[in-house]
Amino acid sequence: MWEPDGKIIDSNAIGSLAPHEVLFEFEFEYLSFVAIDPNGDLLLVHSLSASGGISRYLVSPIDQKILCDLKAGRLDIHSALRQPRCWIADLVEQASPTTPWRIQSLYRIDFDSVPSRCLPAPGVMLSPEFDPLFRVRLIGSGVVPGTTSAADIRMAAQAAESGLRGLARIALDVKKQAGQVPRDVRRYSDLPCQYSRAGGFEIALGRPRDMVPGLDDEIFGEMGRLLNQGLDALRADQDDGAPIEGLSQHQAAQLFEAIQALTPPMRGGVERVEIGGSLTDGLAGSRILTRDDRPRSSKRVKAARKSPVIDPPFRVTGVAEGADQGFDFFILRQLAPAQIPGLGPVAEIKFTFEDHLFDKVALAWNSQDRVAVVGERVDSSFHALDLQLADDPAP
Amino acid sequence: MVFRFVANDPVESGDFLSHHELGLALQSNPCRRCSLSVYGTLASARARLRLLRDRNPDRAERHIARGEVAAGDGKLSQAGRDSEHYEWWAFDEVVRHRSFQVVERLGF
Repeated sequence: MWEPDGKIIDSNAIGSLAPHEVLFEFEFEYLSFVAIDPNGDLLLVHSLSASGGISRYLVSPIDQKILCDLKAGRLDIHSALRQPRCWIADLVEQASPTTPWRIQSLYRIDFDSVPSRCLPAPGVMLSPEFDPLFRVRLIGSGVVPGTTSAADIRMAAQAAESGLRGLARIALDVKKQAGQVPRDVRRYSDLPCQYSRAGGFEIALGRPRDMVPGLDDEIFGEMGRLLNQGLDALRADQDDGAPIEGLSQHQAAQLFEAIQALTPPMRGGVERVEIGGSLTDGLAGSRILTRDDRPRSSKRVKAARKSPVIDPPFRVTGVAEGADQGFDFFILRQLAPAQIPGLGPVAEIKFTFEDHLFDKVALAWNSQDRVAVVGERVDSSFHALDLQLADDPAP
Repeated sequence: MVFRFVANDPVESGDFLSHHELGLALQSNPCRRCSLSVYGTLASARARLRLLRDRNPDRAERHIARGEVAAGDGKLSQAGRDSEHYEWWAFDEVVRHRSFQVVERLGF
């Protein structure tokens, strides 16, 4: 085992390290626990290494607030352990019915002298339920503390949200087709930020606060599976137009758009993007997206969307009277004109729309004002390109 | 069929020593210290190993091995909150690692 870099002190200096509260147990071994020092103060004890009958722990003094934050998922283990005073304690077995161990050696050390390979990575929480669901970390020459631009930070947040939204849409489609009532797509994409970190900019998103066991787990599980499937397809040596098993062409395009959203831009200081979190637990391949992945995903999107727009854009006014729970489409009624080019007279049109129109659609739906929609027909679907309040009178 | 975390590929007898035999887990229940942890599925083993790797990386083994624990090999009992986690108290003279082979190497 590695040699601690510190001063050897009296092995009784911080007490016996008897567990007062177990925080993390693995195969019935206490790997993180709280002990009480001779003054009655709290010590956070964390297993670093074990070899040759010696169990080596990092011991850090903490207070009640740190302990509460740690247990509540507001503080990661690494941060809780990083204290101005730390010790390394080597425990060995002793023949005693009451205390079957003793501290063989106790070292007073600096936290930074602990080999990083022995420490939990920054951001890792005590309980897996607090581990981020999805993480995006920017890597590149332009991503260093004090240099990372606001645009790149916004890119990280947008990449995470856009990527998740694309995956959620497909996952919810599957649920709709199975006759289950889906929830709002935003529930699975507009997730609470757990933390963000400056060095090598990283943003971590957690689960919804009101997580519903069962359905939510299924949706997130499906999103992870889709991400894995998409990345595998992207990196396989296959034709750009190769179908994705279980997905329609439209869904395949959405999948590659979601992945494209996660790739680094072709220029600038961000050269790679690392994804992580429990959503990526099933990923067999690399979690790092490179600039090569961007044109690859773009080609797959184009190949999947190769059906052309049949008609040029048209303008129609009406009232947005219906929308689904997921709010990714609205139904326009009281149409003017009632005749749609290439379609003839219709009573209503169901339009899908992109996210940038969400606020306008929500306003139109809530106010019931007449709106003018510029839309296009793609295959058998209608897609809204723009939406404004209408000056035209009702028909 | 069960799964266990191992350090060596191919597996060695040293991969099948209990906490008691290794002189570890000194604060744990003395009975449990004498058992070997195994998992019912590869997926659960993989998930648990990742959990350990994230929190105590130097304590995490590098491989997952698969093998059989027959009735004559000892007592097997589900234990803990993870329904796929089992404790195996091996009978004396059993060559514990005999049927085990590495099936997965985790990339870390």
